[in-house]
Amino acid sequence: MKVLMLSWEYPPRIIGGLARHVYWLSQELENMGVEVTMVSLDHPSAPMSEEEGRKKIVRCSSYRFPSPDFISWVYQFNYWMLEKILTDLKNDYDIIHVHDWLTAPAGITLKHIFRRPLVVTIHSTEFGRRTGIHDDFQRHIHETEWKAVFEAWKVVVCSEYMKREVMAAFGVPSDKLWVIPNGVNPVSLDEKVSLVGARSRFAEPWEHIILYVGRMVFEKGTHIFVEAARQLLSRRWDAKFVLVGEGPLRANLTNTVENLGLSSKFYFTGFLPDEEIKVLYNVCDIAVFPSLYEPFGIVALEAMSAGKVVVASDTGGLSDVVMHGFNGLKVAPRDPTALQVAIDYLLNHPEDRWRMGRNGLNTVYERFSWESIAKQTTGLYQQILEEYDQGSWKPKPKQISLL
Amino acid sequence: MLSWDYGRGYVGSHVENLVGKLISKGHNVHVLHIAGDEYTDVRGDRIVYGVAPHVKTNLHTITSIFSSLGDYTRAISSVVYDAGDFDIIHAHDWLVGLPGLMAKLAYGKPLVLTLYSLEEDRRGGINLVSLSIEGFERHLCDLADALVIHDEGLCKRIAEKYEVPWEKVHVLHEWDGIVDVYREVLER
Repeated sequence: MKVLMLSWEYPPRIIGGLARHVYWLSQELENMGVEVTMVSLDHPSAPMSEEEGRKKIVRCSSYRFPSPDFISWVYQFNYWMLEKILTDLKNDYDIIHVHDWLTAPAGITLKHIFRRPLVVTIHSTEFGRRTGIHDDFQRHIHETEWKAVFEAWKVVVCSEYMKREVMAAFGVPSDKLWVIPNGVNPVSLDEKVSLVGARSRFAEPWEHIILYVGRMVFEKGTHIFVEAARQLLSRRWDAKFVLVGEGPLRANLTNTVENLGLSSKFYFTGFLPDEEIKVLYNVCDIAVFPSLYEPFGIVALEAMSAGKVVVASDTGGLSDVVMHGFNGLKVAPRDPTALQVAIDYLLNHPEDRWRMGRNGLNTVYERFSWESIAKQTTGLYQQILEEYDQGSWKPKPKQISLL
Repeated sequence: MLSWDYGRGYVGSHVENLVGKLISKGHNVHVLHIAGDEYTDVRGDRIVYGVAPHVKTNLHTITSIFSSLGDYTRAISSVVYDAGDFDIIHAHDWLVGLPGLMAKLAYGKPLVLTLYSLEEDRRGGINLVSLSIEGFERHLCDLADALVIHDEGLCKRIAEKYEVPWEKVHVLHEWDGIVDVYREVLER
């Protein structure tokens, strides 16, 4: 089986979580015998074309002519992707798989030129990211997402929550949607790393580390976390709140903490490399994910894979991942008081922390390994190809010059 | 025959005139143009397809051109599928030059491009949109197999501005000699 996969980010070009997702998915698909050609965008430190085993990576120019705005830049790189594929690659792919609206224009065009089935993974929607559609810019993205979903043979979403969201936002029938969760790589540490030494970089020995990892934006609820911390610190002083990540809210939150006289109890690390984050997952006591909108919540799984208990908002994909009282605690989103009560409970009950942490670790291995995700994806591809073989929508032999 | 307009406006009238001439000489022509609603219309001796963009945008011109690319390519694909083989793609202006280029690359057929004006004549001043359009005008001139222009002055400016080899450029009045241009690119 040959798959042409399109994504606007692929390592070393990393913008958000998508690069890692497509990297590990394509890696595991290749291990299962699927031949993946990954088409992505250029990066100064990566060749324009390379092969990793049977996986072929083709990178296209991301910027050739000026673009007046983000959307027209997206269309332009889609165009360069198309030109590259039609010029340099053969059309012997069974499936075209695109991720999000960002590569949907190219995917839709290829679907019609090659007459091959299109799979679209919707990682999040513009409607969800913006809590509604408020201007022409957002409406254009929203309608492009609708079109991608309309043109797709099947649509992949990462959680039951996202399935409901996509059904509601685009009017898609449920049998067109497949829930395949995102995978996670268990947080494994280099054996030479001293956790005791590492821990002392972030907190005093008598302080519990309460960890937040994520972009500092409104939808991640970082401001809720800081308010919950303030409330908790008014009752107990044995907690240190470590916030990893960058974002527009960071400066504002740092000022808030300073004005409250609580700077010594907060540590804003900024962006940290993956290895440092792994260390933090291992030395923290509780990981907190207070998101207001979270299609999946991979960071919660990463914390679980380090055997840590999580406290998460009962929203989005986090609701699917966290089972209340089993592998973590769920609290109402936008409720700092509920959040600090849950953190306080876990600080007072170390045996529950340990039990839920172990359960979380098992959850990751049983449900969210990349091997399991690739198996489900291959199953989807096979079902699509069976349906495709039975249908009449196919290319005429030798009509496409690239055949 | 790819065009934004058909049968109306400056370019649309020129295209309709060309189609009439080709059909009178016994050629088989399929016309695709942008329309409010999708339709297929057999008008006597010619088949006209209306391509309706799914995503209607109030953003920049270039955004609406690009967002219609997938719709246009889908229409080309179904026309080619139904019609079987074809010989030439003739795109009118840069607006539909990009789907024309897609068709050239996908089906391995020569692309003839007609430009009716240059972005530098249309724009109100230098801005990111016009620089982007100029980039694509140049790109299309590079990759088209032949350029057909109606006006000698415009032809000279295009050839010089975008460094197009003279042997690729043809000045035709009222489309006289267009079949010879088609034959030449097919032989090449």
